[in-house]
Amino acid sequence: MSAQNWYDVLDVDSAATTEEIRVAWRNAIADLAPADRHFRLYNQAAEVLLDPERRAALDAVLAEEAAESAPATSPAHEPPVTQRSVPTWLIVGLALLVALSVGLTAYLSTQPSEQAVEDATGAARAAAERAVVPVLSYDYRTLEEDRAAAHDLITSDYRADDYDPLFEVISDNAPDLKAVVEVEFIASAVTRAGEDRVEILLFVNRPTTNAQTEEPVVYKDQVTLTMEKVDDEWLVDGLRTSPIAP
Amino acid sequence: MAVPSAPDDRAGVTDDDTRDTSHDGTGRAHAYRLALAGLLVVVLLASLGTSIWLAATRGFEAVGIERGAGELQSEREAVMSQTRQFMLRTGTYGPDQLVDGQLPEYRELVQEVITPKFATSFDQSVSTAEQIVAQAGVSRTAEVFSTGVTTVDADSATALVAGSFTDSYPDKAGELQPQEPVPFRIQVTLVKTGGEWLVDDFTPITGADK
Repeated sequence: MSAQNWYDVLDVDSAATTEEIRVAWRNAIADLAPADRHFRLYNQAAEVLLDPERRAALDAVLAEEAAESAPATSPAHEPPVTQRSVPTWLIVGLALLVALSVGLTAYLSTQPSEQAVEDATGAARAAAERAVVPVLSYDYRTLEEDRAAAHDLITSDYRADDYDPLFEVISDNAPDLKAVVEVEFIASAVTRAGEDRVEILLFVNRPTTNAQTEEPVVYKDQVTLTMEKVDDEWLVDGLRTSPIAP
Repeated sequence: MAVPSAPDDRAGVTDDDTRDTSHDGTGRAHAYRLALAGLLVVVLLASLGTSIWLAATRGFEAVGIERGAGELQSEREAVMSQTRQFMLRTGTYGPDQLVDGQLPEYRELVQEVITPKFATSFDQSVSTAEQIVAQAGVSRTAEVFSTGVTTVDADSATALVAGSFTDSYPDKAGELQPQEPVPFRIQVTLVKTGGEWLVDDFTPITGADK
């Protein structure tokens, strides 16, 4: 609880002289009756302020109160500190840029790395070199086994659309012709690299015998195999060739 | 003159609290916006950095930046194209190109796609073709079936090419009669000179040595 400020009661400055206090007190009580409640209040003020020791004590208490209240009250009376807030348009603009940039990053991350493509292409090339022999070779005495061996190395689409229809023709004619086609892998090269679809050019020799010739006729062919990755396995999905005369 | 009234402590406290709460709320909003903006800037910079790295290593086909796998495939295409050109140019000539018993246009076209080193041996062999053209009136055309790249690095490559040559000889009436196509399977060695792939050598692939 704060101390009574007797200066305010007599309406004098805290630096007022004794005489000024005395004049103020007299003026204050001049028209008052002794029974007036203000009369006693003004007298109490005068008693304190005209007593040097009690006035000094009052000054000390008032000074202490002023010191305590100053920090708490000053911010309310000071002008508000100006804080620069980040404007909404800037935040919205940044958010849009972030969205675009993240989208760009996501798109670019879908592009395969060189190493991934080269690894995949190398695996496809090796698979093509292994597949070309069973896919192209057959023996009239083991046709079903030859077909089954090829089926393991080709996609279902290629089997249904190309391989099986062609092998039906071979099956119809090979026994009568006693046809035996062997395949020797010679060399390979990459025509088109990719992560899940690769084209491989292969040079193969095809020693062929039939009822008319026991001495093999060697066809020196070039074959382009389209390899497709199916469940982590590279399978033949297409075959292009231009048979070259022996 | 009036006696000062006692201070209204309750009212004073309520005003201060209201003022402080409002001030703190505004301050928190400012801090939140600043933190959000900072976070967005960090994410933007990280994302842009990642995008630049990805574009530099993997390419950005939509804006014509070719790197990584796309760049390597472009090199393969260039090697295959030059290999095809080499076979077509070396396998296409005829009497209509003869000038004073030589095939200057033929020489020029072939020399455009071969190295100076290979040009030396080519010059020595081309005279044979010129002699046959001049004496027998033979004409040759080439067809390329397929090409592929065996190996490729920054400045050298090997390629396979398959196709056929078709020679035509004039009959008694002077009409050119095409003969059976003669197939070829060749391995071509190329080197990159001045940013251009040039044929440095070639070897027939028969498979006989397998």
